[in-house]
Amino acid sequence: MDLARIGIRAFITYVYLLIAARSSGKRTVAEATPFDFVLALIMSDLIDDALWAEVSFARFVAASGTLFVIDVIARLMESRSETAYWLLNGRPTIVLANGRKKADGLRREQLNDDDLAHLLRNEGIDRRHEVRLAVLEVDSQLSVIRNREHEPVTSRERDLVDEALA
Amino acid sequence: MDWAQLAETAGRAALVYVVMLAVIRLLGKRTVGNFTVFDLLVALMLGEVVDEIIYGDVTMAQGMTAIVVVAAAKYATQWLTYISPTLNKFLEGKPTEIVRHGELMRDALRSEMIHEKEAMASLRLKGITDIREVKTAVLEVDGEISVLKEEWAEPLQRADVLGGKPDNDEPPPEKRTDTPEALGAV
Repeated sequence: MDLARIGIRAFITYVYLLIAARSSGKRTVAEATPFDFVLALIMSDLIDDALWAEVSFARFVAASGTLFVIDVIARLMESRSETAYWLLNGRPTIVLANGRKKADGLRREQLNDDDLAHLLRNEGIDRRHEVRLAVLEVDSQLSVIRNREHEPVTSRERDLVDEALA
Repeated sequence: MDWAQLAETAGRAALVYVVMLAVIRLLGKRTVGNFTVFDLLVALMLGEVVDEIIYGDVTMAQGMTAIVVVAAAKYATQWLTYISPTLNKFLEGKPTEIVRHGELMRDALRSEMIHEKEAMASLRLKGITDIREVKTAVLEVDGEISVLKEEWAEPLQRADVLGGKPDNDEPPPEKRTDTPEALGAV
């Protein structure tokens, strides 16, 4: 295969990926679930065989098009049905409730004490007793909800701040 | 154009989609995200082995064997690191403290091969402009730097200003989005 053809094939695959990425309506990589991520890997992996002409473009389109269509159907289902959403993405897991570890949640996610400490440090949490609920979300990020009294003061409490300062 | 071959490719792709979804769901949320380089490598590996399956370079049975073995090994590793702190430290590494009470730990930075400027940039990304506000900054096993602030550098909390007075702004239950039920969490 001569260099010009490689160049043309590389350019076509690039444009194809660009269109696929834009039309998937996907959020950023950081917000993607583990499966979104692996699916993106599969897509990019399918394409290099087409680029090197080891498979025809027709077969590449059959393969990636199928994945794309199934994924769109899956996303339509999960946006319309809560059950489908939980089935495809898993459920968020409570790892800390009222400052105490939730052993069953941690076991389900195979998180040991070091992992939990790491997740909490990432969120800047030092004092666990201030946490009402810490939840490992389906995209593997930790969300932390503090007890109300430990939430930061907002402008709503301006009077109280003035009073406290006076 | 060989339509039968195209149909077979499409069928294999569909099957791979279902299998990979099942594998990722069984492995749990650790596969990618806040976790280690090794977690990422396994995700890359699983993503890389399937093109031969889809294009029929290997049989379905061969492909599934590879996927199942990698997934099972990953699951076993996760479980072993979960039950054994020693193995956890060996496989995932240890976090390193790089700032303590406002002072950069220069030896730690040197042994982690991080330049001071890089460390300061990580702190800026966390909104720290005055290093004295940092109680401890830790280089985590996933390469991120986490920051815990000194108590005096943290925002005032409601309890600080309420001073025992009743909280009159409690949101009504139906407005709350943070109950376990609303989260759908288990």
